[in-house]
Amino acid sequence: MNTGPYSDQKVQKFLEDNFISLKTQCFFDKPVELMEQFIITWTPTLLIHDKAGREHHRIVGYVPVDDLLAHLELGMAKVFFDGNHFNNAIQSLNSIIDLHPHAGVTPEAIFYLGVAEYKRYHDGSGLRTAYDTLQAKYPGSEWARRAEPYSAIPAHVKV
Amino acid sequence: MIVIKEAFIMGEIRWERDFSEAIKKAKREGKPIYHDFWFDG
Repeated sequence: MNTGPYSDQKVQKFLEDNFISLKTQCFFDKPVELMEQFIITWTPTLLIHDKAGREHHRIVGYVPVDDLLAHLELGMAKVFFDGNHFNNAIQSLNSIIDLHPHAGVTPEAIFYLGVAEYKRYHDGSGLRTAYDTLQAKYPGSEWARRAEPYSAIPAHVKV
Repeated sequence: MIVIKEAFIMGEIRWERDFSEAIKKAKREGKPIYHDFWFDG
């Protein structure tokens, strides 16, 4: 049960420092109440809840260490973002971009960073920077395509 | 089917087993919850 990423010291420390960790065992022949509440149909399914228990991020399937660390940080960022704590969200999103450039969720982090900066500073240049960064570093990603509308924003100009 | 709800430590990670207890602890410590749904199959 503690195999894979949980045996990694970085994962252990990140979870201990930043989260309350919770395990729910699944029984598919007789689903437990939490499986039905959160519609769990495959394992592992990993959720990030805020402190009130509301879901903000979901991971389905096995993820290796670097991807898991990036997902954990993204989950934290989404909790901050959804709670309008944009400074904290920006800090978490920048950590993903700096520390996990090859993780699968990093293009999503760049996209959210642009949105968080827009919401924090009411300045469209963050959205334009997200578009430019995604085009330069992750041009084939869905998140680069999602950022395409921001290409119309002039760089370094407030909107 | 036996569902164990006591917290336990595995490796260096302290795992809660009960969602309500995890929420109480999360509110007390000001942290989000990482929730692992797993299957022993």
